[in-house]
Amino acid sequence: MNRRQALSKSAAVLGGTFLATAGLLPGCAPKEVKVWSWSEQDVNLLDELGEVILPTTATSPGAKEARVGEYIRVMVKECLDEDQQKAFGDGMVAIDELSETKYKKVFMELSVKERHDLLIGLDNEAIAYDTKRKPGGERHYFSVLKNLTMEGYFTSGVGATKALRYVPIPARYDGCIEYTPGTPAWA
Amino acid sequence: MSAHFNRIIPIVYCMTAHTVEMSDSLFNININSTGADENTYDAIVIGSGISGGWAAKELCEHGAKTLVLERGRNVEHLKDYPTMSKDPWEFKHRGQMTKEFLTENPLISKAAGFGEDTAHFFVKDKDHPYEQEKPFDWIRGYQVGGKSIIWGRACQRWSNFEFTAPARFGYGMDWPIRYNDVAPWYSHVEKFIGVCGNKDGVEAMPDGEFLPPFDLNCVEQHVKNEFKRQFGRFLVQGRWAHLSVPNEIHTEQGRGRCLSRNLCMRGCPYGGYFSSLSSTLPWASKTNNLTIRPFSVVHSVIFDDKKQRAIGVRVIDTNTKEITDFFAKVIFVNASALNSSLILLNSTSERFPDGLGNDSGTLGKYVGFHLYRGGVGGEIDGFEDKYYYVRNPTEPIIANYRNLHQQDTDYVGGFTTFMSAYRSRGTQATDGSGIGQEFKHASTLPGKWKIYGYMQGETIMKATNHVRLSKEKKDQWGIPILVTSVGYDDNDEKMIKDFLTETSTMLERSGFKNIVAHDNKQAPGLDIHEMGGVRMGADPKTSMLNKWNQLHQCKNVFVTDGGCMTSTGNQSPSILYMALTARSANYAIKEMKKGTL
Repeated sequence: MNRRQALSKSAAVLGGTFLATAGLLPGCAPKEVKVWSWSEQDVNLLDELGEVILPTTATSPGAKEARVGEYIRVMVKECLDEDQQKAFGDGMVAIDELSETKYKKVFMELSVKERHDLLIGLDNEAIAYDTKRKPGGERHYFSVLKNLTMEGYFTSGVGATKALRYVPIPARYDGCIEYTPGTPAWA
Repeated sequence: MSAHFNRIIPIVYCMTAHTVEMSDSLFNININSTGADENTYDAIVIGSGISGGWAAKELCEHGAKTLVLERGRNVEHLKDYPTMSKDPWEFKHRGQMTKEFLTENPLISKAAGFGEDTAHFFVKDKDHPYEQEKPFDWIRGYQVGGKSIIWGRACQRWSNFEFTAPARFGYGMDWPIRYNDVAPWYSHVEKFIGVCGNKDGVEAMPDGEFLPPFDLNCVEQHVKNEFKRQFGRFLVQGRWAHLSVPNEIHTEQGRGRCLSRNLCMRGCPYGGYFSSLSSTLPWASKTNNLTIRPFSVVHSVIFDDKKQRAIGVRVIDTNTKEITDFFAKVIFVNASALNSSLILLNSTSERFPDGLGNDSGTLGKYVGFHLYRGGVGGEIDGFEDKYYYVRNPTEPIIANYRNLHQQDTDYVGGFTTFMSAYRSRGTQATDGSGIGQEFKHASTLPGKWKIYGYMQGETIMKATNHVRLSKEKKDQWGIPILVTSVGYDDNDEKMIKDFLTETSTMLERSGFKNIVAHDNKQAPGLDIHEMGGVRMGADPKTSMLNKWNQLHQCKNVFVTDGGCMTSTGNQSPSILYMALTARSANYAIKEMKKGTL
């Protein structure tokens, strides 16, 4: 139910009149329905989506190098229940569909800017959706993706040691030190 | 450094040394039953957790050949800490449990500190069933070392306020002891285990023998100042069982300085925090008087109706289910609070048809716990030029300020508050976006200062809050399972309300914003501070144990774990169990030497 609402809402926001007009477009042959299968391509797509959320910058590698795709695969498959897994997979398929609606290309074929613009739209939509959801209701699939990306990245070797300051054995605790603006938090 | 215990087969151990051992023993033992000699010790300790380890240490140090029975597997310091040095990314689920595991273990997985890195030190739900008449989360860790591996490590002393409050305000039976009876034993324990803390001179939380404390951070210091200035209430540095600066007695134990990793519950590579495994058990083992027998679930304490005394313990091997009797002059029951009730309830004889030493009918009754339902959070502006160096393994404590000299609320009892401030991670991206370069950078920065506080409140011990044996259901070893009938009362509800209101007010007046006060409604038991069931008291008609933790009617059986508690107080209880255990064990030794036990 929630997932469906999220999907139709995505379409409404990003695809304009997608749902209403899709069937009327001339020459639009029925397409093969894509099913999320956690294939290598699917995991690669997650890496690429993650890289848009947390890109490589001058100071640290991005989500792709942290292999968030594989992390998300493990977490979704082993830590979410079946309904949530399905909602997540459907959501990822929906991203490609949105991409096609908006840019006539699948996500992997988009330019860096197009990818960024698409996901900015989704992020705003997800925030709005989550704010309005009922207590205990499922979050928007993009929020799930974004949270998993953040968790996966900042707990990875790359994220913890290069984007944050990872000190496995601090050897002491100082309660109050000066903070230099711009320096990362402790992992 | 690592302890090598005598494992599993005490019979072999005793056969080789038996003759010498007995003649060398300080204590004369006369066993009439044939074949019993090789299973005979001076003392038996049931349980190897935080109090059992202390019983073993004290008894062994004083020359008593001691058998420690542990129902779980063997765990050795360092060798059996598989996750102690792992980085976060080495865990497949980065610390989380799988859906499958959570579905199979809805109960144990709720425990504080439970996760992918520590799960191996907790029981699995299906292995150890019990019946909840009312919701009660019974959290257990069955292994050598027990829950001392995974404990919270807070070590405040009880004050005399707590020892006297139940009688003073008429909500419970009086303790047979006072603060002064345990104060020297608190010192004894603190010196050995190592407790960091500051001498703050707070009447409601007496000072101890402290190692240097861990710092407050700048927001905690601010809170401390404001609470004192505006409310006359005391926030003090964490009093935690950590070796901030080890003394010789600690290095002798093979333990080193706490290096502030704050990954304690995995087991510490340095022995930086106290556990039975890092400290008391290896210490006891060095005397050559210790035998530890894992996989040994105790069926009952054996009471000899002819001799009118307890003569030993009946044990079931958890793997082979073979039954073996072990014999000793004194028996220390340290099976963890509710299991100690279970064992005594299951120890029936002609003399004690309702459970060992249970003439009073109070066995299994007057169970209490600590109220952990209330939590408050908030954030404060400023202090953004300040940070801290990595991680504080301890937590500041607000000493109880309720119902001390007189009753000043509409409920009885008081609460300790643990409170800590930290900088959250993540700030607002400069371009306001929720993805991309700016967002990523903002996500790596320390954010606003936040604070959290949670209560540890006293509950009233009452006969209706009880445990008993199931009449129908047995566990896989044929021992009746425990039925828990423990719930909240109106006093609890009032205290929670007061805690939430007061703490919110204190934070608000100290400059905090966006304050959230929350009652998590968790079931009793999840506090992992279950107590009572075998309570101490001056009157044998209304209590199980005397002031030395001896069963009134069976003097060679001592109960010194959480089961012995007459009231719950509001301080973290573990160090009191340790102090009471050391006190009782020394008393037992004295009485054995006199020949009166």
